[in-house]
Amino acid sequence: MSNPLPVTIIMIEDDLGHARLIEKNIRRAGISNHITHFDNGTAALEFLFNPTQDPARRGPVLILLDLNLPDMSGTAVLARIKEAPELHRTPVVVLTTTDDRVEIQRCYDLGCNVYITKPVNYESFAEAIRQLGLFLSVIQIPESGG
Amino acid sequence: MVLDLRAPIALRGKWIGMILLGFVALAGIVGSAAILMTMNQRQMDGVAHAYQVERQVSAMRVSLLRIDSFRRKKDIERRADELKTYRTRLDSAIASFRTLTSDNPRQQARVPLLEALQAQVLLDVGAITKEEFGESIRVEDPLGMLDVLTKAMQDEELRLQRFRNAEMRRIQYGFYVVLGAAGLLLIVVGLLTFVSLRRFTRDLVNSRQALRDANAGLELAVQERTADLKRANGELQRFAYIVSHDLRSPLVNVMGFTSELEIAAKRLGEMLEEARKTRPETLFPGTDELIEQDLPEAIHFIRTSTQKMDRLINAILQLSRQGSRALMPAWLDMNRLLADVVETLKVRAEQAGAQIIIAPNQPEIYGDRVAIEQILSNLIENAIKYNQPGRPPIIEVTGRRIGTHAEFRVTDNGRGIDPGDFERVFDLFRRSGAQDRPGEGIGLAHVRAVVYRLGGSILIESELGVGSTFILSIPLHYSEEQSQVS
Amino acid sequence: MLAAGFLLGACFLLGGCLDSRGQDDVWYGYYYDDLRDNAEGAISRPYKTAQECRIAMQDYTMEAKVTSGFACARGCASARDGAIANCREVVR
Repeated sequence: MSNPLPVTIIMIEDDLGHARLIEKNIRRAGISNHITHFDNGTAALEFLFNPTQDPARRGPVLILLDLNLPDMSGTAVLARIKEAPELHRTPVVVLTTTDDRVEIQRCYDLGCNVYITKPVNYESFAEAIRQLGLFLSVIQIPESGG
Repeated sequence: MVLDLRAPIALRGKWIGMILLGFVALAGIVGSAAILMTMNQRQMDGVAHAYQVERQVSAMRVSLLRIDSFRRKKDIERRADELKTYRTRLDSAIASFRTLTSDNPRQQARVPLLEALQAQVLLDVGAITKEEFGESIRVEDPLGMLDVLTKAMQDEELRLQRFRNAEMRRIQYGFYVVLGAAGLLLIVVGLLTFVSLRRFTRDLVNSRQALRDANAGLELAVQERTADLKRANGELQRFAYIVSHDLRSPLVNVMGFTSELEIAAKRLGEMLEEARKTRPETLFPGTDELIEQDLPEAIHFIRTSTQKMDRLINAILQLSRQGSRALMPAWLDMNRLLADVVETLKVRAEQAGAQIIIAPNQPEIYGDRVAIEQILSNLIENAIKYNQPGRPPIIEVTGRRIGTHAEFRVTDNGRGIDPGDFERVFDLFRRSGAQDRPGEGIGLAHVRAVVYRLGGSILIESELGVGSTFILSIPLHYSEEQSQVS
Repeated sequence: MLAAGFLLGACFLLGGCLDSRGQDDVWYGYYYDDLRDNAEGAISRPYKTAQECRIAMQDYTMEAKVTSGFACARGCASARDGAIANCREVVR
């Protein structure tokens, strides 16, 4: 563990503006990990579950997930990830405009690790992202498939 | 569906008739039996009577024959006692005969002849003198006459007996006829009762079925309407929810990139400062104005507008959520509930120097605590907020029962509402009067939505510059059917 | 209608069972030509009192033979076969 594999951030976000803002703030928070962006759930799941991809080569991942996706609901993506034995320990950060208590509870029930509401107030949003950076530096990201 | 409810009532009348008829039949049987008994008794009396008459006739005959045997003078003298006994016996037999046949003119008519016979025999034997015989009729061959007469008397009794028997048979026959008729009547009544009872039951079942059908139809219609309304309402809520979310999404971008713009503008300002110091000749005229005034101003307007928009979206979201919240009715002590509401507003009331008076004896109601708290808290908060400038707010809350509803009045001495705005203030994002207080025009819209949901209503009485009264009427007992789908 | 019919029938039948007595207040003289047999007697015109009846009957039987007789009675059931019996009151 002295030389862990770099964590890849997989961002599943259909709104390009949001994606750009998230990325900007992550970088601003001093996190330089590679970010792979998907604008729909199908492509993201394809990437995550593609058996031809060598998980070891891909390295450990952290998923940033938006709940409003064009092709499928974010909670469905979350459920798929948490059901899969090789992925269920992957940390998932849910990012969404929803602050509905029921939906938040559902995300936690499905096994999401952090839930961040996208605030319209930009400062608090940036703050949330910075906290995410902190979260990234603290957590022990497990070996993929481990 | 028209139900004829009179039919069973008419049937009931018929029914009573049947029962009465049954009783008449029974009374007929009992009465006939009683009459038969009486007749029987009379027949038995008649038999006994005839027997007695016969005995007396025999006694008369025997006594008279015995007396006739006293032919010699010395016999009379020697057996005077015996003669006396026979005479007494004869007298008593004739007397008895008279009494016993006192209802028969023919037998009565015979009595004088019998007496004449008696007198003749007594005279013949010499038991009485010519003087004693007196005016009595003379009878030739009294013993022959006696035989014929007694036989006729007995025949008469026999004939009467036969007549009585015939009469009895007639009576018995009548009794049987009455018995038969009554029995028939009972059977007919029973049959009719059975038939009408069956018809009655069938009608009852039919009408009940009809009623059930009508009810089911009505219920179905109500269910359909309710389902429609609920569907429409649910769609509206989902719509509001989705709209507010999807509106928020681009707003995040607007805000985010405005911030990015701000950061960029700040950097530009720094660069401008740098350029001013080092090489001011390279700056175009008007650049300072553009960077230091126009850019921040534009950013400021974008920001305040988006903030406002965010608040409005939040308000819609809140309203749509209120509509989908499940109500949990419970018995509420309104005295305590109002005290709790006042307690939560305590700080704000103190800041405004407001006095809140809760009248005692608030009615107890069965309703949703959160909803009612929200309503009253909003109304009292508004009363604190919209005071007449320079006049500390005095707010009074009274409550009373009116029929099936509880009426609460929240009265203030605030700035009042223009009567033209009484409806408007309840609309979302609409406010009244000077827009000098913070707020989005959500509170009262929310209040009205909740009041409607509870099946109540809300009214305003107000005079500008004097004060307002919000009159809230909610059912004492919340029921889901009663509540209007808001 | 049916019920009324039955009721009427029952009353008629019950009525038939009751004794049909003659007029109670009127006296009749019953005269028998020969008391040695039970031939049908003659009935007089009605009288208001028993006394009237007796006087009339006595006048009538003044010249009659020994075996004739009479009685005055009221309230008699006029029976079939010419028999007179069950009178309320009979006097001689």
